[in-house]
Amino acid sequence: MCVQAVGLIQAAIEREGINTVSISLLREVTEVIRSPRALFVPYKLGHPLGAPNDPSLQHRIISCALSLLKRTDVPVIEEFTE
Amino acid sequence: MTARQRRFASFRLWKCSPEQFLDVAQAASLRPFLIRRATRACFRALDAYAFLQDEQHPLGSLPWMHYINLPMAEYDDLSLPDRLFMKSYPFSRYRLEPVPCAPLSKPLAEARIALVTTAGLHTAEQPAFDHSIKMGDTSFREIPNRVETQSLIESHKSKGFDHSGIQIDRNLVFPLDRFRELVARGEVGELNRRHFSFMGSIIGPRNLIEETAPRVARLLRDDAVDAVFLTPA
Repeated sequence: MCVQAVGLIQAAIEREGINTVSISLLREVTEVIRSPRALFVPYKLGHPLGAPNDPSLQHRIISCALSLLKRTDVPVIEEFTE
Repeated sequence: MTARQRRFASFRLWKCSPEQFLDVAQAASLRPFLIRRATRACFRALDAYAFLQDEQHPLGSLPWMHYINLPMAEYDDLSLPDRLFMKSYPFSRYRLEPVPCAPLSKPLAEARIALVTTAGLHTAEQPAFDHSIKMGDTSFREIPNRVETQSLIESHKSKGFDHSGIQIDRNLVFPLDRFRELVARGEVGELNRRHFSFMGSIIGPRNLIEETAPRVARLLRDDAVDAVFLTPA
């Protein structure tokens, strides 16, 4: 349900003219909701940035997500791979 | 089998473990449409999914309600009631049509960024999110940018996910320290003076769609934020 809420909040922000990107933990939900830009990560619920106390992995995920900001071919859903 | 036996089998579905569920379904040679019908009946009986996550509720405290930890989040990894719920929930009702699109107006190195999470985080001074609202608490908390990340409190009580990682490191769902590092490295322009936190588990998102999410969007616009990074829990 968190993934749906993120998509809906993201849409409201994007409608105000602000660029957004989100992390998705359930690809099926994001595909149905059609978030403007989402990075699907292969981690369990509660772990959108991969693992606790792993700044290196967290940075790689953030960097991959931020690279989607410039995309305008919405909806964008990319998969994070190590 | 008789209609009476089928009804009995249907009635038992929500009282058993996943293994027992399959046994019962097979023993009753329930056809898929009967299982679906039984599932719908279960949820009508439960009235709202929120009960499933409530420890005080007799159904919420059953042993099979506990989430099974697996490395990747897919429907099949969820506990039986979560899976049934996710399969039957009308996500398509909230499909974005058209998909809004706002381009990034300046390079990231000059942009002002804000974070938004649905992990139910808040500061020690702020009230916790309200779990007694059956269809989900659609309110939000303003997280000041100067906050010490690890001091944030998580009042998201959902049993649908593993909270242990968040307890160890709030950056797992709200990567404020990582973004501070990006600003220090010059990869991101600056962080907004505030960020926003919602709680997920919103079964009935109407108020979120019509009221609270647009309000947060306007606040971010007033702050002249250029881009927003959102994380679920």
